[in-house]
Formats: sequence, structure tokens, C-alpha cells
Amino acid sequence: MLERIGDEILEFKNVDTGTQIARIAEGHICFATKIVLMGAHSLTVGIPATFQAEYFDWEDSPLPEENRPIHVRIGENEVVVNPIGGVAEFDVVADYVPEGGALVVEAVGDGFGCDPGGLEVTVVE
Amino acid sequence: MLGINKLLAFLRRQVGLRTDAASATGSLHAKIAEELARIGAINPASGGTDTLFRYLRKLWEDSGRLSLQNARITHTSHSSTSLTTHIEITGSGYLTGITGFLMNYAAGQSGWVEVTIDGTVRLTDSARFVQGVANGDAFSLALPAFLRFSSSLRIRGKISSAGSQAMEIFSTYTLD
Repeated sequence: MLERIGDEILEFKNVDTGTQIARIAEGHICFATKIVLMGAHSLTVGIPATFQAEYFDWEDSPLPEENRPIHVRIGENEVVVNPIGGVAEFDVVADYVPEGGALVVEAVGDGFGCDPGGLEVTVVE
Repeated sequence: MLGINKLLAFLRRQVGLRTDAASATGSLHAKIAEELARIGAINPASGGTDTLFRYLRKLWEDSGRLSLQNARITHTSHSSTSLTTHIEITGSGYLTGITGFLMNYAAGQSGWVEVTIDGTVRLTDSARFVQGVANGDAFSLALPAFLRFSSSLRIRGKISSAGSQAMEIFSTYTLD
């Protein structure tokens, strides 16, 4: 059975050894909270595009009360954004076409267990 | 010379009545009741030291634990910078070993492990469990242990920076 323990969702099973019935969870299913990152899949150099990072629970329900800061990594750069109503918006501008022609954008909850959101964005001239 | 009435009184005192309360110093009936209480019920529900059968059960349970039955091995992969669970047990047994390694890591990247036994943290996640000193793979020492947990065991792990890498944790344990 799935159960929330702290920030995590674990799956427990009962093991009957003959002497006791032990309750065991091996490994982590997911965090109770996740970030979903939405935005353009393609950027043109010099033109800003808006992205949105939103908190959801592990069963895909929005979390408007969850407003802890989100670390956003864009390639080698990192910024911190503060959500309102569980949603944070930020703009991304590419100054050049990176090696490989794509940027990875990742949004991570700050200081607590949370599954990150990520997008790979193509950059063109 | 002992008269018949005195003889009967003597026997009544020594043998006693079936209703005599258990006593180590009373009549024969009282002494037998005392010994039956010390032997206790056959097949008791739990071990203990107050009756012979409960003590035999306790010895059987203790020897069962020491024979390390129900041995198990667990492996998990940890790719988050927040602690994630390797194993969480409510029950009793022994943690018998633990090790971890990082694959294809950059120099300086680390993995941490936290071990909590019966609700008390025995190894904190502030001490590096394994660290890559050069690019490549990094292994922790395999840590043989014989740590008793009476009610619960929890092991969690995390890494120093997120990415495609992960710390692998292996542990061995037994359940009573």
C-alpha cells in the first residue's frame, strides 16, 4: 500500500516471518510534491519566452498553497523564483545558440523533497 | 505413642486440601500448585522468565534471532539532493551490512547516508558516505555491521548535486 512518509511516497508490504509480521518499504516511489514546467519548446536568440513552473501533488492535483521558492537552472545559469498561488512565471532569453543547439531548463523545489520539472528547449538564430 | 487422631491430623497438615493456595512452604497440595504455576501453560503466546514454558519460548526466540534467518538484500538508486528512502522497516532484526557507490562521477561529488535505528539517528547525513576524488567511479567501504533493531530501521540516502548521476546503496539485513 502507498503511504506518505514525510516528503516521500513509499510502498509498504507486510512480511510474515513466522515470528513477526514486519512492515517494509524498499526504495522511494516519488516525492509527495512535484513541479511541472511548461513553456516553449523552441527559442529564437534574443527574443524572450515565458515559462511557467507549477506545484502539483504526486496525484496531479494543483497545490495553490505551496509557495516555497523554486530554483530554476537554465543551462549553466540559476535563478530563484517565488510562486504565487503555486505558480511561478519567468522569462528566458538565449544570447547565443548553445553547443548542441538546445538548452535544458530545470525547476527544483528549494530545500525540501520535491520531484523537479524539466524541459529541453531548442535554440535557433 | 501416636494415636490415630494425631496421625490423621499429621497427614492432613502434610498432604493438605485440594483448595490450598500455592505455596513453596505449605502442604503437599500447596507445593504442587506452586510447581504447576512455575511450569506455566504449555505453548505460551510470548517468551518470558516467570514460567518454565515461557522461558523455553524465550530461549527459542533468542536462538532464532541469532541464527540470522530471513536474510534479505536491498538495492536502491538515489538521484535526489533531498534524502530518499533506501529501506524503512517496522519490525525487529539485525542490520548486517551496508555499502554505496557513485558511478561516473565528477571529482568532489558526494553521497550521504542516514541510518536510524529504533527512532535514533546512528549515522547522520552530515558525514560523507562516499566521495568522488577524481572523475570516474567512487566506492564506499563495505561496512559490515551487526546492529540490532528492536522496533524499526530506516536508511536514507542523497547526493550532493542533481544530474544524471546517482548513488547506489546496498544493504543486508535479517528479520526475526
